[in-house]
Amino acid sequence: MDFKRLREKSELKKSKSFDDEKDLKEIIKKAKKGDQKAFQELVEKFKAQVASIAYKMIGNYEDAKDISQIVFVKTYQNLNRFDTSKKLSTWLYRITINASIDFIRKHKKHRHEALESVGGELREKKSNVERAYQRNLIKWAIKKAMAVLNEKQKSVFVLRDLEGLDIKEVAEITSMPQATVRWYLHRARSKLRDELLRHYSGILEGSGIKYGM
Amino acid sequence: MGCKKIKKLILNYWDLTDQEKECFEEHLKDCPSCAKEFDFYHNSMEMIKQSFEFEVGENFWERYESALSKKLSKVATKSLILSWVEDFFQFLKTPIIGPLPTYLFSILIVLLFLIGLYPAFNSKSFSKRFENNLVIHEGEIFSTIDDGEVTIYLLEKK
Repeated sequence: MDFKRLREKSELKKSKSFDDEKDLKEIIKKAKKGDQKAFQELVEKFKAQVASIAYKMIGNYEDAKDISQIVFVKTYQNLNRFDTSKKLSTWLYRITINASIDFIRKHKKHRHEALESVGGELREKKSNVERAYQRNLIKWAIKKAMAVLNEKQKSVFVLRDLEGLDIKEVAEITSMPQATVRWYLHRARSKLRDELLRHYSGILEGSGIKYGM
Repeated sequence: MGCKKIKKLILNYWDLTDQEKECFEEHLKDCPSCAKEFDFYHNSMEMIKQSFEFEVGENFWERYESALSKKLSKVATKSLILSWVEDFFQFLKTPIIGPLPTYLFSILIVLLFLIGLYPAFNSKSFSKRFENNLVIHEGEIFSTIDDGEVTIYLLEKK
């Protein structure tokens, strides 16, 4: 394991600051005064990030798009209450996580995970079919494994491990103490590892991931 | 650090301090068992991250802005109406006579008005007066009382 590369990778992610706070505050002030263009600018700046978090929570692109729109409608409605001394991204991510949890609760009964877009992938060249199938199989296994996480575990896992936010920010977004975030993270990671090992180790082995000696 | 402690830390490698990471890495260099376990977890995590990579084409955002602005204009109309209602209630709450708010004052006025009207609705003469129909016959005024079968004409003053 090349630890140096691992660390460089994580530093790179940390330095990828999303919002240039000074400019952003100006845009927020304008949007608060009812400037539609300023609000559109905010949407443009954050839509990919918001939809990305929603996608990681839900696992479906179209639903993630819908959720991102709900998030911006809620932002529009409550922008006056936003405290400009705080980070907008934290506030937006909190709305995104809450909207995603609402969506999961609403659609829990009618939802059944499917092997997404295998048909679409099969239209690819014959030589790629097997690889595409394997890729989809892994995606499916991971989504199934993610389903064992509860709302809080999933939220912290998505924000910390999949989005790469630091624990302090995750704690602010989820309104939990840092120690609690660490606890939920640990539970999420071990549950996910156990689930993958128990039910999907065969699929993982197919892509070269083996456990133990 | 021993294997037991290291195995507990495998899941939390990314949250360790630099010093803890160094100790962790030192152990893994000499311990193939822990290294294999770390490899499995790290590779699985990489796979999970790849699976949830948000990769969309330009067409994903097509009509995004227009759909959103439709939703926003609906919300704007709703919130405009709500703000009017809020303003109205705010106005009602503003005191006009000393500490007496407008809405209490209005309720008081309406109550006084209803109390004033009560005797008029309750008076028998009031209703009777309007039950009688006046009839003019050969220059004389009659009033009629419809009493079921018999109609009685009473002579009124000329």
